[in-house]
Amino acid sequence: MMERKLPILLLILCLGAGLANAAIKPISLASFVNNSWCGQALLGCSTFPYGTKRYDGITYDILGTKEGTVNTAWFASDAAGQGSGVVSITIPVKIAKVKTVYTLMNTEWGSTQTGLITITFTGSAGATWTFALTGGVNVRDYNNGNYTDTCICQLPGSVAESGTINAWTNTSGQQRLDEQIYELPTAFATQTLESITITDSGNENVQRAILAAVTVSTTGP
Amino acid sequence: MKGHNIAIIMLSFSLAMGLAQAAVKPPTTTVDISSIVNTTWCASEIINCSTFPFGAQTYDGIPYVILGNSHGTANNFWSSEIAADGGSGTVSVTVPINIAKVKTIYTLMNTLWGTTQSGLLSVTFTGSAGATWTVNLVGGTNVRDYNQNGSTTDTILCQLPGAAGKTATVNAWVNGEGQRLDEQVFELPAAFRTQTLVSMTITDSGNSGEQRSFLAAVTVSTALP
Repeated sequence: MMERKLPILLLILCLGAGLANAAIKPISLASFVNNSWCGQALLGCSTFPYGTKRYDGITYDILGTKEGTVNTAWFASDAAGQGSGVVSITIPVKIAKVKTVYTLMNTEWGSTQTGLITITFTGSAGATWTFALTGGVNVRDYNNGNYTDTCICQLPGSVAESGTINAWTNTSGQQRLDEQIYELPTAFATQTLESITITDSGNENVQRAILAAVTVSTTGP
Repeated sequence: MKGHNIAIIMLSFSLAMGLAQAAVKPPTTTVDISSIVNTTWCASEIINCSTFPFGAQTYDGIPYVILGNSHGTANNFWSSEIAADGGSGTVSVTVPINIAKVKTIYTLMNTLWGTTQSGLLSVTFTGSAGATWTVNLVGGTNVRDYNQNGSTTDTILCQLPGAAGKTATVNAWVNGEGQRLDEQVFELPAAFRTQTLVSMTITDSGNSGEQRSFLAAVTVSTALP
């Protein structure tokens, strides 16, 4: 009897592992969000999304409510008290064998100057990867206007590369959310992705990051 | 004993499924378009033609085969401008595919000149059991002028389809000198999943000096984008 139960238990375990392999998992930003779309006075704020959304085939959880009374995103501008200086957040992930990380990130204002936003991925066995996002290439001003209105508009293509495409635009076509796609270096494939750190060194009226959602996947982009 | 064996077989199957799901690259197949290409980059006076790619390439993680050679003596792509002999009128080309259970089709397609007028360019996919899907490609949304010049079509949707029966376009290749190739991503309607994708037909109703499409490569996948 015991001999019969063992393979069945193994079978259940393997089926579970198979399903887990295909996991696309939204990461909670509940402890980091610091304002709502309208609280931050974004243009077209009432049209901005919240809740479970699917963009480019990827599922995201954007916090917030219809009434706009709950914070929706992390705004670097608010973190810096609308002043200058470097601000950062470290988001715990703790998921094994992550291959791809997706973010919904834009900026208020925007600059093509390099070094103003970085994202660092940290693995459980020492792997780290820091990627510098450049305005007009990897991230755009959320508002189609006078700042950064272009992005690289492509997918990573191989490990240790990043790409950016559009995720959402409102019906006016003037406001948007971008999707950054990070294909992690190979070292992460055997480690647990411990955390993601976003560092913003911008300033008011120059560029400040907005992070609306993070989703990770154990498959390639 | 029989139950034991069944459990072992199912265990092996589940392990295989687990490994398959962990595979990085989707099951893609490059489509041979050698029977339809009608010109080379330089014979068509493509700006900075010598920088244009040929051979096996990977863009956005998808493999492509662009025909041609380093001497520029072998045709690279299908040009509707050549097919129309530099004049007006509707031209079309049918690319044979004959691959089962295709979910996604990737093309490298751009235009000579470009306009936002709809109805000038369409792609029709035909399945073996009657499924058909026609997508109208609009300049500035689904396809761009290959040459960035500020006066024709310099924008694309810049996103992935997101659902069956949708299409989207992202950038595939740039040379850093103002020329580019775009990648159209077509997520076929569900009906195609049980059929063989027999062919795709490109129909161009543009005109010289207005908009004429060209096709450089086609790759199909039995996975979603």
